Amino acid sequence: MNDHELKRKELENADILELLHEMRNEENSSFTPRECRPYTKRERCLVSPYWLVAASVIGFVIGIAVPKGMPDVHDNALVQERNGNSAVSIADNSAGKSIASGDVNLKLLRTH
Amino acid sequence: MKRLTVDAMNRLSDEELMRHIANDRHAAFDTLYSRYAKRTGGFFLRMLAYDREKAEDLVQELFVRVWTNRNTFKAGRSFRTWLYAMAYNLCKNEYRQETVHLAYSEECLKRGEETVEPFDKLESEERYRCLRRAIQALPQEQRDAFLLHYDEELTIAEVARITAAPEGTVKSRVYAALDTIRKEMNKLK
Repeated sequence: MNDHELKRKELENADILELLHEMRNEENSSFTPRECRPYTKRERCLVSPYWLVAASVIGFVIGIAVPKGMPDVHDNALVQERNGNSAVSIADNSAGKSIASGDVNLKLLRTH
Repeated sequence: MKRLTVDAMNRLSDEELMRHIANDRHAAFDTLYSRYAKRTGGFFLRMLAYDREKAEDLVQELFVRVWTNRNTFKAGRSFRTWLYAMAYNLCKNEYRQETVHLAYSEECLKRGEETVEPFDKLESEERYRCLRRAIQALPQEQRDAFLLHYDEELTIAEVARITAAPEGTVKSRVYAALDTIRKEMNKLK
């Protein structure tokens, strides 16, 4: 197939090619594309409500739940240890809580 | 790279806009999208048997690819060839999934049989229907070459590159496509 033959064929079918261009222009202009903003995906992800909820939960656990969630028995034990009481007597004074059960953990309290 | 106004963006070539897009300029992307969205939408319509919803999806998919691959676009290359190569690959994926239904061409065929007027007296919408039917009836490779070359006005060399076929083969395909369309159209005369 050479260029000359193809050119001849195009000239023979010029009416079809003209019709094709008319049809193309009409179809293209009547096509309504949707909005496309692929560059907003990343930003949207960063401020997603899921991230905000996750950050709030983590903040609550670290900032509020952990310090305030210490059992009373530990606070009592800390006070009693500061007053010079031994671990055994602290356990006795702590409403039946034993050192072995881990309810009174002086080591933890000292580092707290 | 300094920021440009929308008017200044509109005056830039596709390749210059791609340089701005590579630097994450959203306005450059919007300009390129408004320049090509309707055009590629029409192309998808004609390539995929006038499935409008599919064409809308593919225009979005195509331009998401333009954005995500913005840094792979090489300077000195034609943007149109790059864009239509991606568009053509999207069409090929659709062909592979066999989601292209030619129901439209069946409907068009029926309408053609009902027509009694000579071809040159038909209303333009009726003539478009006949042409659509003839294009849809082409073998897939001929249709691809025909639409890329005559509809999207890409050169034979560009079509050859996009379809990964030798230039001689592309010429033969468009030649055969013109022949077939002529025969289909003559049936209405």
